[in-house]
Amino acid sequence: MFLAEILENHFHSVAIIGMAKNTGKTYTFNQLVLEGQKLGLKLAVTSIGLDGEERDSLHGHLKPRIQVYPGLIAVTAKALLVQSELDYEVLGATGVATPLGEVVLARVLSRGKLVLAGPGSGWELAALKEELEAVGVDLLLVDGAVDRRSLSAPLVTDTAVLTVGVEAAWDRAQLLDKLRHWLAVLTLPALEDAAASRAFKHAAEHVKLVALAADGSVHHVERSQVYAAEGSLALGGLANAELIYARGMLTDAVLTRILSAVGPASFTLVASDPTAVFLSAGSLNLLASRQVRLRVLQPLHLSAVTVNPFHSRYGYAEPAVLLDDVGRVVHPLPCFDLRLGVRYRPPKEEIHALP
Amino acid sequence: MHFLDAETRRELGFEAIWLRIRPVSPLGRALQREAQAFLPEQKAELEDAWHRLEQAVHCLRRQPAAGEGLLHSLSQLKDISGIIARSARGETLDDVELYEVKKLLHLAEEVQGELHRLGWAPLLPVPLDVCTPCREDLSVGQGGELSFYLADAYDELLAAARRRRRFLEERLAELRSRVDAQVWAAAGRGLSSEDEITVSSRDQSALAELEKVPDLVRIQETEGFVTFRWVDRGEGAQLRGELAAVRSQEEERKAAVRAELSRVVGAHAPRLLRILEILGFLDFLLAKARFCLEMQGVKPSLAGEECLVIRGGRHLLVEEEVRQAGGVYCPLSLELRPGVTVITGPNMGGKTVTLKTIGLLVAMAQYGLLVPAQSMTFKPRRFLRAHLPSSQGMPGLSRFAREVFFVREVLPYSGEPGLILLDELAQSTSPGEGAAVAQAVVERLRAAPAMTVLATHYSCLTQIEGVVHYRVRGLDKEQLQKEVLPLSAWNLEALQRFMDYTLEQAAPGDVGPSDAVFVAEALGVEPGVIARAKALQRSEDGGQ
Repeated sequence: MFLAEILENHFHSVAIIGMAKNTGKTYTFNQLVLEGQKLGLKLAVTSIGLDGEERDSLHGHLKPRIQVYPGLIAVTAKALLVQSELDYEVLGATGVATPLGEVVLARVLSRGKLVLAGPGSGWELAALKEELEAVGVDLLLVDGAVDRRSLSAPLVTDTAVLTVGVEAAWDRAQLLDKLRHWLAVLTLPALEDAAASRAFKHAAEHVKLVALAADGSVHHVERSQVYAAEGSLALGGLANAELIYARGMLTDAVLTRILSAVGPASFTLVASDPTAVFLSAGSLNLLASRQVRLRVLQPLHLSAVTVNPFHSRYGYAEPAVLLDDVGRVVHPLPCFDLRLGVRYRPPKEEIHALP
Repeated sequence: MHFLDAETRRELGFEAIWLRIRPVSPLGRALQREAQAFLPEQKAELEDAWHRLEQAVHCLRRQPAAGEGLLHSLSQLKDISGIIARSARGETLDDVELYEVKKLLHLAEEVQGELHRLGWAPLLPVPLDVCTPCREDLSVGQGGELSFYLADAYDELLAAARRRRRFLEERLAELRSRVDAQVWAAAGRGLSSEDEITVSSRDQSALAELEKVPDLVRIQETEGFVTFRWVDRGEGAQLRGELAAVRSQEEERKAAVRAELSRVVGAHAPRLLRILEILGFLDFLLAKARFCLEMQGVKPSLAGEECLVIRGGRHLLVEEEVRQAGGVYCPLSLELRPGVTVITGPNMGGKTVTLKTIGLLVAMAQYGLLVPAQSMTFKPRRFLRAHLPSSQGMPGLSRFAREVFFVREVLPYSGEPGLILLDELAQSTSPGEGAAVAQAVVERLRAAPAMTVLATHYSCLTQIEGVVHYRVRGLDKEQLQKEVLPLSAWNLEALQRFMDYTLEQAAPGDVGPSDAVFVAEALGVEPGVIARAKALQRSEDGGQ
């Protein structure tokens, strides 16, 4: 079972994030709910905000999408719960406000469908997670959306599942390039230097760059200095840096400023987490060619990838080929086509008998 | 004239101090936002507020950790007055709103229990009514849980509809399981959450087996796969039809129960609103008590006559700054009466801080707070206005013009028992004319019922009949002579160390040296400028 495989690592919360709309995020989410129910887990479900996909494209109505059953803990906006026609017990009101009312915790007591609109930010989700621990939940499933904002969900959850669909790009080469870029960012490794990590995490609000040199000296560059007119930067302190931490968003523009100030020597560039890395594929290649290592203070964990061969305009791609293509790119991450119930298996290597 | 305007509030540091009081609930915070000062005619209420606050401080001092439970309960308090008002208007509340009312009553019970356990119940102006009948009505059939559920015990018809609905749901689930088992046997996995199964077009054996499963219909076919859906035409369809009807009945009964419970809430609306009010009061009171305990405040005393007597008064913000810099804070003691009191002293001698301390203590006391002092006795003021060098007033105006506007505004009210604090009046214009303006203002205020405190370098103001004169002792010359520092070692810190900020009553005209040249020299002004200033000072002294 898909969920059982994820839970082998004793995770207690999973976010489902999509590469684009219509990549099968809801299908994957519902499959996890179904499997959780079959495993007899005490499940809680929520989302980061209200996903744009929740609206019916024709009428703009909210589509009930998540299958719920008695015993499930649902965390959603009050209006959606009240209008759901489900039977439920109100367990708590979180104080988190959304356009559809306060986010409410409820124990579902009948079968049916529900729209989820949970807390809009990562820190609200983190607070909610603590509240759910008090209720005694085995597994929290978070429906993340597809934009950058929603990527805060996997920062809060123990692990994430990425949904990949041909909707992101019908052209296979283009889709796989995009996927490689997503994976490169989402799986950025953690900075292993604990002392430097601590120092970077405590950087002041107005600081954009913190540089650590081999002799232990620290150099701070303020936000205003980084974005000052070209060529007039006080970035001299970056020249001999071994580690450079970029606070907040790491964009191509910030990278250009950094690279213009450092010498030819290699260094390690650090971002706060993968959701803060907005570097293009070209920039990642540039870093690789200059042997600059890219690390994050807070890494994400990806458990699996699912594929969806459906495209809203072109119809269906050949599912077996898609699974094969995506599976190869994401290997050794497990990759599934949940509709077909199949998992990518890498071609067996030739086995030579030992002499 | 309001007791305190925004400018004075900010200038005195009262705004910053007030924000250090931190209630934990929205209701406590609303009370803090809306708080008004007690005026002279509200002496009894003011006395009661101080007394209650002093009691609360006493409770917290005796049992410092005991308030944690209360704080936790109060931090969960929400302002649900809107929900209660709607129920009072006859509107039906939804389940989440009914939960909020139930939770309020649960919190009220928790708080009441905790207050009794701690022996703190007398802190409340009236006993907390926890509205037990309403709580009981909202808890029927729910086993004492804090959650809210329209339980079966509310309505027999609802219970019957639910039983039937559950039965039908289970029957449908059984039907689905049967199909699911067949699908498993055919394809090696079950139906999706949408009751579908998709298999590869190449998997002919699975396709053939799935075709045999009753009620499984092909709904989509591409080159790569085939999707089947379970479409129950027989018993399943009948069950679904009945389920829809039963759900509708269940919703109808739930709506009836909600309406009845909303009516119950509406009938108790005044009591529920009173609970909110009292819990908000308690939250605000405890927040003030935490603050007053921390700053070691004392209860002021009401005087029968028009006076303000402060012993050991401290301006909390200045005291913090001094302590952080490693200095020793000099508390303020003085006595004021209606009319004018003039404070003189050297530059950097703390005259402005004296005015701020007087104002801050009066504002705190009249807002019902304890005060940072050894003691304070006074008669509440009708208004409090301060003009300090940092006062902004109307933008774009010179300092003198701002002072003029201030004086113009307060003079008409000097017939009332207010408190006017004026720093360096007319000091920024030509000395002769400035002194004349200041003298005229003092003469106008000296016999007025308002208390005016004026800090100045004009010695002539101390000589006006009826004016009380206080002087800052100033630089401690004896200590200075003992510990003569080289000029290079002088700085702000050294200057503050040798400054004696104590106020003492002084004779008219005895204003002492302002030490302006010395201060300028100590703070590092160019030696040439200092030498010239000293020469000019000598010739002026000689001339006089």
